[in-house]
Amino acid sequence: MRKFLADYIKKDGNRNVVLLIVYLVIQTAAFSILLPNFMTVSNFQNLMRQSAELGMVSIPLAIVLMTGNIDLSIGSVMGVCAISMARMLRAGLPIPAAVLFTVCIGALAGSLNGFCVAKLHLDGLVATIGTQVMLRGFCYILTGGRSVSGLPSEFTRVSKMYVLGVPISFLLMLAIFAVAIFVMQKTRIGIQVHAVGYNARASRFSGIEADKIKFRLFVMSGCVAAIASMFMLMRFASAESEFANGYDTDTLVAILLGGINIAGGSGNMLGAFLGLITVAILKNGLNHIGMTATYQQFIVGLLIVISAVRLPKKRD
Amino acid sequence: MRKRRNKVLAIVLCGGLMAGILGGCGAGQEASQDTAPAAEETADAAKENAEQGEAGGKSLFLCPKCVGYDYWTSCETGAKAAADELGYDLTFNGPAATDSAQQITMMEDAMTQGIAGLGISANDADAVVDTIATAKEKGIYTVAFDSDSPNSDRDYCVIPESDAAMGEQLAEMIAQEMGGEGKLAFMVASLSAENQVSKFEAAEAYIHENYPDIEIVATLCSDDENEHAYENAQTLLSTYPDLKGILGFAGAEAPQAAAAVGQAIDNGDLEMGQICVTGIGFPSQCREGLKSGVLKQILSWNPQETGKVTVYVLDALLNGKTIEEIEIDGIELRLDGSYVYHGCVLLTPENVDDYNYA
Repeated sequence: MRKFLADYIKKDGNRNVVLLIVYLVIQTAAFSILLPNFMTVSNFQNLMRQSAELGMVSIPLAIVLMTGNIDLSIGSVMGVCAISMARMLRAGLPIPAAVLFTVCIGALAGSLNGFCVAKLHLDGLVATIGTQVMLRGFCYILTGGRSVSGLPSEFTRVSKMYVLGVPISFLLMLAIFAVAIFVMQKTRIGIQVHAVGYNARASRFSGIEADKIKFRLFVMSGCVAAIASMFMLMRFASAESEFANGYDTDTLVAILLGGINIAGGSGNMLGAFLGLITVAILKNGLNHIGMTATYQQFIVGLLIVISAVRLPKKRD
Repeated sequence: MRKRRNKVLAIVLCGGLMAGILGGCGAGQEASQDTAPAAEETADAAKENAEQGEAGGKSLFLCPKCVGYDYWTSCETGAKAAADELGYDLTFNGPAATDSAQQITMMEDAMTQGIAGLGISANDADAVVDTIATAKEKGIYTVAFDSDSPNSDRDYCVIPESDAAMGEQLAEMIAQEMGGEGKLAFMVASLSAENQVSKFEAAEAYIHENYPDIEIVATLCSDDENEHAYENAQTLLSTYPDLKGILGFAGAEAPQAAAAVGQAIDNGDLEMGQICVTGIGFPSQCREGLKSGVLKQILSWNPQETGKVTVYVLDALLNGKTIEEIEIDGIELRLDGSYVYHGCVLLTPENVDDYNYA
């Protein structure tokens, strides 16, 4: 057992997993002792509802990061999807059709990123900052500055549906996570993704079509962003031009805390999931304490820097 | 070696967290420490509410559009003062940047923790409708402050003055300064935001009605950015050499216009008093213009009062008092339906130093 743990920790991505589990237990215990209404069913339902969408979009982003790329346009893609969806619903389109079109819009936005990175060979950072600004501009155009509301209650009601006390959106997030963990660790695609991130040149020589993989990942990222935006839209029943603005950073925060290497190659999905849960519980607890958002940001940032610290390795 | 490394890191991480929690406790308040949590089932909402009512009997939560800006810090100061006077635990917390999602998260968290009253200045008036409805279900009173959420179940809305009344007062101010004639330009922060549109439409109607010799030549929009407002003012000066007045409808407009006019006067392109500038503004930004004489008067309100009145209104709701029964030193409230107006302030070169809000 000890041997297994020691070996497990040695893999770089796993180090954060172990640390996060320890930290998470301490954090949760501390909050439940300090805060009278922290360990309640309704608080955890809130927590799950609030973090489900962030969790969904963090999955494709984590994978994109593993290939050595980055996607900073997620928030804007979510904005465009949510506003389009809201407008379609307002126009009286049936819900299933609106869902389908919204996912298509997300895929389209994702393929725009994919095209820039995989076909034009732009740097992911440059390309997605570009699309981030561009698509946010599109949000302003779509809304004309006013928020789109008055959505049908059959749609917004879904956000309050629970299965065994767990919100539907959270269950969906867990399902996507489970699939992603399986695919990334047990299938060839997962190995190829890691290979592309670890050494793009070598992977090309071994016959992996890196560009194809990157393109598909960005399209997937767009689709998931579309799905996440729908759940967020259900919760708010309103879409404004600033919808999901800054979500890219929030997602990155969770993932980096989970030990995904921003330079590509290493990291695992479990870490990303734990990072997400850690930040969500931390913010929730700090909200309960009444700490202002400005301090919260400072603490979360500090946590990331600390978690990224690697003490100098002893040369073997 | 590696194990030790991890141990060290784990300790550092935990230390960071504990520091955070302790810091938070110091800054916040210990709300209802002695009430034990016992909500076993969500379906049992009634029971939970009763408990939360008990826990949150003296707790209020006010959620501004964002935190870290002078305007909202002033608002917080006023709210905190009122909470101290009336004996409430007040948490004043909003997102770091204007963001609806975080506002909703914070309100939900506050409700779980147990509060008796909620104040909200929504970034997206429609996005909070559902959250306010939840608050109502739980028996929590809600007051919209500074910015209304008209489609919601909020109990009251606390604002300085109705948009229409402010627009008309601004129109009267600039018309007086211009002597009732000449070319006038409007500067606004947004051409679509409800609180801007209703102000400048009211001003326009008022001028057409009462001062037919004033011609409104342009309405420029700054998107609420200082630099943009400044450029807009410069554009106006070069496009309309015979312009006589500029009226600003948001906090950035009049001070930036005054800066542009002041610059033109310094360059010798304009004479002092050739162009009248007024509008909405706050002391910190308008002090210079008022002192230099470019601005003669500015319509303003004190966000401290907004915060203060919000807490008093929540207190009245909780104690079953009417709004008319509220008495606050130096503030005269007016009630119109569910709107509580606390009044505007007219800033002049003489009184601008008396006000310490941002």
